[in-house]
Amino acid sequence: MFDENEIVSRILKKDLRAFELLVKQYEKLVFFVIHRLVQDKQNKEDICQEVFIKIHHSLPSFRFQSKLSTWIARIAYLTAINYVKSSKNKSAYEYPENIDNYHFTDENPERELIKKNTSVYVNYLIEQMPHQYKTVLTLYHLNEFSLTEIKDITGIPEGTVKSYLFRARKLLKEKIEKDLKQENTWKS
Amino acid sequence: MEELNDDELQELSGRGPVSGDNTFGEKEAGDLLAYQDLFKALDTEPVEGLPFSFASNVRRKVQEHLNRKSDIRFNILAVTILILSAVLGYGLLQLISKDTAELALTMVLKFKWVLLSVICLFFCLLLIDQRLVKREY
Repeated sequence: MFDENEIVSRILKKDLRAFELLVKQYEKLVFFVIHRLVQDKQNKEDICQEVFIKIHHSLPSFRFQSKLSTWIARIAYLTAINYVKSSKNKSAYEYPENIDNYHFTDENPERELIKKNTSVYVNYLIEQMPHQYKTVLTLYHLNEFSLTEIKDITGIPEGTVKSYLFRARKLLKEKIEKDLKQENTWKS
Repeated sequence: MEELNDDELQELSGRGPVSGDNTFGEKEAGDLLAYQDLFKALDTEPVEGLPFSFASNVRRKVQEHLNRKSDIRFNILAVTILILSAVLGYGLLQLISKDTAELALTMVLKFKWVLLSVICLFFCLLLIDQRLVKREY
């Protein structure tokens, strides 16, 4: 079983095998966060590497005040946000200032192709959402963090996290329902 | 039964499959089903992932970073030792024999470019060795 206290103390004693175990344990968590927030497919692995190098560098300052997974997710989130901010000008999508007014845009041919697979289509729709929605959906559903943990990771108040989560899911549900209705109308 | 709003439907879907005892209106049942499907899709892990060797690649990167740091520390130490031994040697010579010390200093100054070249060559070889030689981890 993975004992985080033991692993951390071994890493602090310069045991790199222990660090490799830590990477194996948390690589999915880091990848899910980076995968959702960073559009640039080629840089995802490099950013994940950067996150783990930061983790190794900052581990002596980790005081077990939170779960190790929460601390790692916060580093991954901040790294992804910094990357997104630095490459904002190159971004293909532009989000509204007030994300409460966010709505999905109209159809395009690419969307028609992936609609057939709900999971792929949901991921495609999430890719277009503002990063606050992407973050809460990923941390809550894929990484299975609680609302309090998401507050600790992102620094967004718990009430706001909850409202983002509910609104994001409502937007997705309505969009999928609308698209399915349209598809059925075209078929009949 | 009292009608459920959207947030309540989401809360209900988040708790897992809904038992058959509940009686919902047609719209509510449809919404609940839609949310359950959405939750299933949201919980599905992405097809893409990191390569199998990711953990060992990160370990190698960290090892390289640590080696670079220790190399820099070693180089600074080597320069410091070199300068200190030169100063100490000159000081000792001054104590033993002032004439020899002056002669040594004159010789050092006379061949300063040769000595500097030898020292630079030594550090260049050291840096090349540290950069080019691949270490086994």
